[in-house]
Amino acid sequence: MAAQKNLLIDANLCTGCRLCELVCSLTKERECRPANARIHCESYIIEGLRFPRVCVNCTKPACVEVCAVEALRKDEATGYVELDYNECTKCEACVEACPYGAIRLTPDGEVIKCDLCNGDPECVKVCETHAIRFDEHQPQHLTRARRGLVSYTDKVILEA
Amino acid sequence: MSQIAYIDLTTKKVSTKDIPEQIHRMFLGGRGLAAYLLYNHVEKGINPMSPQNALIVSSGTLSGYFATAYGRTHITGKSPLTGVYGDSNIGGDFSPELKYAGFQHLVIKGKADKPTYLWIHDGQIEIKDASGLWGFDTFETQSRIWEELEDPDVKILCIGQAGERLVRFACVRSWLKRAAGRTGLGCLMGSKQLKAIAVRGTKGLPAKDPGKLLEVSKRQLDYGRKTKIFQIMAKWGLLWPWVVNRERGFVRSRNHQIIGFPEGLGTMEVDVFLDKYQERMFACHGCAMHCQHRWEIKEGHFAGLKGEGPEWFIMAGLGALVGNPYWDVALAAEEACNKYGLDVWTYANNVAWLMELWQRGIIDSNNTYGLNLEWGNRETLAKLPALIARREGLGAIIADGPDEAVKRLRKPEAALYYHRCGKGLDLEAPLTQQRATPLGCLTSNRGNDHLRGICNMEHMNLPPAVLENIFGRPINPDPLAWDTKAWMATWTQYLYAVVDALGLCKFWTKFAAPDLWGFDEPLEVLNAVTGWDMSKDELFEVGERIWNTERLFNAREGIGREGDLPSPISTVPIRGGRLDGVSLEPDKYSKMLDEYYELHGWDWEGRPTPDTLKRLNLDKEPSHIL
Repeated sequence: MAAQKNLLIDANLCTGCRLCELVCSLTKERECRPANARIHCESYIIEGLRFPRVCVNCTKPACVEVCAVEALRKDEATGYVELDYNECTKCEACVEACPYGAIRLTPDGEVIKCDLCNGDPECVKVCETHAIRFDEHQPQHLTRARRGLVSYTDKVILEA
Repeated sequence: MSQIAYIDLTTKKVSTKDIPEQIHRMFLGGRGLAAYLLYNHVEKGINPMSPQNALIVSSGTLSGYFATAYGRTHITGKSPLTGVYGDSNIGGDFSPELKYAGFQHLVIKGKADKPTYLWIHDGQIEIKDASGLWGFDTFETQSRIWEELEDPDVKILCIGQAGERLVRFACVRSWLKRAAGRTGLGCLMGSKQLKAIAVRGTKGLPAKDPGKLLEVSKRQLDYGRKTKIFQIMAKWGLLWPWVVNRERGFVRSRNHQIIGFPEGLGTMEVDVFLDKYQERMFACHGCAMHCQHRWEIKEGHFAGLKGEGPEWFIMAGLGALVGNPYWDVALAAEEACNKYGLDVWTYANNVAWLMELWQRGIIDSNNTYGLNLEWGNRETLAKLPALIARREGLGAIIADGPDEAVKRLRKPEAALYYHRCGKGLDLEAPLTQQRATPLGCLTSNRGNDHLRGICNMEHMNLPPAVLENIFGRPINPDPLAWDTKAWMATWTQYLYAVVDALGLCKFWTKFAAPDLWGFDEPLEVLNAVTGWDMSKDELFEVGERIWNTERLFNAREGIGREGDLPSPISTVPIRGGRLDGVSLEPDKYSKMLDEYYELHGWDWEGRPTPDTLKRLNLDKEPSHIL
């Protein structure tokens, strides 16, 4: 596969400013609605963690595996995981399956996923600390993405 | 559009109203409409601790939009500490979430019959039982709410044990160090048995011109990031004023007795904090500057303690003012104030007062229940917040404000050494060697306060042309000159009023540096969001209207000129050094105050005249429309 640029996340650099959510929703939905942003920054105030969750185009995407109608597919050429909104039946299997919590359900029941803003992601431009970068991927990053965060109500575990 | 919610904790009734666009345009949200709401919902002369007082929680007009940085929340009420206009502004992430839940203002009256918290989510307001939260500190309270509501993304305002126990300078808290610190609003919240307000929202905020909003905000963000002040704040947070202020002779130690902090040299330094304790930086909602430190103490007496903060006020208050040269002691004291929910400056001022009384032999360990009040005493500084919150020992003496404390100590001479200004708020910014700044701070409607009136550009040695460009009129660049300063203070106060009404953080404005926002930049965002064609003059007048509404409240309470006067210590000439002989001369200050009143269209007691009220459309207030 040719080297591709991908979103690379370093949660240690995230300050929790949430400008990424704001610019995403305003760009994609034409209103300021973080609930509809393709990126979500979770805050764990006491522990002192800020965790941005967005699709990082896994090598072996769990979402593609579980999608019964093949609305999700990994493009051979670019390596990007694409969601066909017309085919999507909103069964939410992908939302459950993604270990990164990167596929989101909006309050209106839509399934949404980052599409990299046609190759020029807006969130990257507003991220002051470069916690989100758009750069050539390294396989380790994608493997990391597959393990991800265990749910909050159990315990916050960040797996390296 | 975002509504006003009216919550009566006695009857448990909740009602809502839309905000007519015309009224919104006159006052804007946040601090603006809150001033209107307080004047309309609270009668003259009520006891601030009674159910008749209102606790008003407000998001800014621009809170929750893509713009930097409008994540601040304003809290308003009649102050249990001073008895006059009370308000305070807190960072974090509450105000955008309140807007996403469908509300811009909460007007909370009455008193709950048991510990209660509000759970607000997407248009719904629930009054919930807080018996599982009552008695816990602010950290534990928030943890328990996230646990109970099973969502770490709930945003919370809460009080600690100090607010529950009605300590007069208890404050409202969020996160680990965020505070609506001054005027005792935590006490007001506690008097209603309201432990917390939790909010979660998933609604959207539409902009009239989304494309324009995107363009404006991205451009402003790019500009801001390139300024020098941005670089400084991103690294040093809010510690940098210590260096600047110490150089200018603004730092006072040992209860304002000494200019400077000689015993803190080498230890109470910004670099020491960054090297030894700093872990990383966090940000409030919508802010690229990320000025909030997270720290850990790894060795020494307080090893293992973790927290967030500090700002330069910790260095000035829990360092210099109380004669403490050690960072870990200051951090431990701050952490205790954070957890119990006390305002750090009022705490520092109280301890510094007691320490001066100890120094002068006016009190001894018989009065302090065995606590040692030597300057910088580590034990006392770290322990006393808990004692205040529990109303034990020495804490019980000072929990109800300085007048009560003097009575309880049975030392009338002690009153001489507690430094506060006209309306009863503690002295903070030094008022001696400047002119516009003391005027701006002392005429602030909640009392002497830098966040309402400091004119930082007064001592930046800016060229006259730059000053005239900013203020619209010639300003004398000499900080000790009296002329032109009434206008400088006025312009500044109106800017801050507009900033607080929009939800903007002052550190993105000319509060911090001359090349940051004045009226123009927020106006661009405002017009893109609302579709208004508001001019700069109109926005300036909004600031004036907010200022006059607050003043009207105090006038109705009978506060006049005496509320604008400085603490006696500010009129005492400085001795020695390059500022030898300088003071805030009472007769010259009085003359400048007269000029200020005339500029505002107020009478000789500083009350807005009928003509002024008519011009500002305030002549029908209280109108009871909202």
